[in-house]
Amino acid sequence: MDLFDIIEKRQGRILDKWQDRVLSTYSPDAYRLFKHKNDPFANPVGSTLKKGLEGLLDLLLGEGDVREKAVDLLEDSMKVRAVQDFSPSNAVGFLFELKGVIREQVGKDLPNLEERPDWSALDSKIDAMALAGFDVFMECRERLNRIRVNEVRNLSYKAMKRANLVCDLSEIPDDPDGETVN
Amino acid sequence: MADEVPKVEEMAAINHTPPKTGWMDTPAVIRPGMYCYSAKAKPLNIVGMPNGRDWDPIEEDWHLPENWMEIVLEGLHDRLHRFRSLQLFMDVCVRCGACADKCHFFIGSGDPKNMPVLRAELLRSVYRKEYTLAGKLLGKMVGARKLDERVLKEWWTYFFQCTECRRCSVFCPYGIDTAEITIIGRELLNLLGLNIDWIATPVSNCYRTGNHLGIQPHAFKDMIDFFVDEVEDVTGVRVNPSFNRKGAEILFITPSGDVFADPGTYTAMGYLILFHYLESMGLDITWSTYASEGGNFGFFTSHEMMKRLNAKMYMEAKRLGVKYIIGGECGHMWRVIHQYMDTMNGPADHLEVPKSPITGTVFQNAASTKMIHITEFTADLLRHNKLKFDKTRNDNYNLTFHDSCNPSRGMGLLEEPRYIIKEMCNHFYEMPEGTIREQTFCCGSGSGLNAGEDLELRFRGGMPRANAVKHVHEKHGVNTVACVCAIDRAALPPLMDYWVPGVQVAGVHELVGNALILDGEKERTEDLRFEPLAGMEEE
Repeated sequence: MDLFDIIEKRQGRILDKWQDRVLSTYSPDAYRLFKHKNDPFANPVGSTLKKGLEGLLDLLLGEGDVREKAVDLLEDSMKVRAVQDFSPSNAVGFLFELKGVIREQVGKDLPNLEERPDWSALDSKIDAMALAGFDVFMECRERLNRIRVNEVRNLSYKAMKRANLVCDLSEIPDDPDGETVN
Repeated sequence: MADEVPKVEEMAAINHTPPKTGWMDTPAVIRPGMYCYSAKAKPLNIVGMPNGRDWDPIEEDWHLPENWMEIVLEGLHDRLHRFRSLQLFMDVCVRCGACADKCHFFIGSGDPKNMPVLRAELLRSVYRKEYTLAGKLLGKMVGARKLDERVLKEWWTYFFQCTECRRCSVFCPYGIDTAEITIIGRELLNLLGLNIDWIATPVSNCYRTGNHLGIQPHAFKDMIDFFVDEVEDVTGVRVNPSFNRKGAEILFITPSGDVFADPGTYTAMGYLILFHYLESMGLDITWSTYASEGGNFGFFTSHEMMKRLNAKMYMEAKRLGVKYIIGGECGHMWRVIHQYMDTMNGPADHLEVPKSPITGTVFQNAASTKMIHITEFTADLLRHNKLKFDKTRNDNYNLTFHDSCNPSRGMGLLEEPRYIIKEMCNHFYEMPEGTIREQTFCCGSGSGLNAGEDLELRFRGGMPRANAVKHVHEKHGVNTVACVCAIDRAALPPLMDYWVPGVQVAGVHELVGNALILDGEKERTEDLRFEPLAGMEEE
């Protein structure tokens, strides 16, 4: 039997276990909230992560370029992980957890799992997803830093402008015959 | 290599839950992005706060005074006797957990010490050790522990990871106000000079120059004059505000953020336009360049400092001889006015009960404090059909309203801003139940935490709020969050930039300023941000 068929049949359970492992990277108190509260507004972190994982598992079982499509699916989850107490490897590492979950869930039915060609295909897809995860994580961190820099720059620049200390280019007319500085 | 790969069963048997220690045995980690810089000696010394010194939270040695433990325990003892609420909050909690998952910092981070019940336990555990027989005898078994340096550092970390928003208190069956516990926790830390710079410097500035930013009177006037020019550019009408005018009927005080920081500045222009509109109808109002701050970071420092800074507003009202005060769109200023002012500096008998000169409405709700919120004033004008306006000028804004914690939970101001927005705008969508009104989620940056260095803390704390905005953004195309708080106006734009790009932030009176039809105005083609009005894009 094809590995992907088995995963598809057990998709609900595999997803649940994967979500479980990801949410277990938080404290037990947080796990209770993130895992069990279904209101997405009272539990935005848990809801976002669970929804993200669901989309990613669908993606792995479907056709097409995983790495490219994973970027969109990962964005919301990575935004969350990027501002929490995780090292980069721990923030992204949850994507690899799927391998362990699948091993656990299908290992007994498919002996020598790691030697099967369809495992290798799945393995590569998960690796591609993780690489996309790292890109998205870095983008989130860079966005964070960009916002930090912009905040400081806007504040000081606008203060100077209001104090009439600067005359910026926006005050110079676009018309080439207009007033220009030579 | 192949031999080194673990077997399937071995891999499956790995426990992926990190090892956990009890909370008392887990020391606080102070790391960049998560803490605010420490208060320096100078701002503390200027206002006479004790033990001012330069110190660094990530250094091991905080250069504490030798008798620091004695100072803290004496401070706690003193406060337990002075504040019956504190004694009650220390004793009455049954750890039911109703508050546990209500804090935006816990919801966003999963850090258990951000659960309000546990944040309070940080202090309560020391209280038990010092004041209860069980705690003295049984210690850790009954949740008691001795105060030591590690505990102190944990207090500093987590009492500055609370925005005093009081969402948790809404859910507490005993009415424990965890914000009050944070307030006392910070007071105790302040006895040792352990404030943060983002609070201590504004306090010191406000004490010296009248506002958080240290803007001096002439510069404050310059900034308002700048807005006068901008308003003229947009409307063709030159407004003429007055400053420090003795004998005016009303004193207007707003947070300095409205004067200094975008997008609050557009709200300030809205105030100017409204006041100009009402001038011919009998409004007699003045700004003050001395009481040039509605905010009160003393509230985040100590009761005494809050009282001192609050008094400046009332002293200026007395000096100018006004009848009452209208306050601008500020957050915590209103909690101070509504819940503390009357017993700190009140009743303000030198002033009169506010009465609208336009409608004759008497604001009995402010009979003692003599200070009303500008949205109360404007909502009353609208209710009496006193304003001519064109709401299509706000048609580019698809709005939602963020209830700021202090006006909503701290004074019950829920309807007035909504009423104004609905009158002034055609497109308004509420965020989901449980995220608005009394249950509103904090911006994540209140109570002096809106510094630049703790952006990660702010973004995780603001996540539940942003998540609800994201919902109305995706469902209704909401592109603007309106609010009545200057800290929100400073904190929400970067928060939106991260979580919901494409959503901007506006004050309610910015919308009023856009819509009001002024006598003698030119054809309006732009809003106060110099953006083309709907339908004017090509002109």
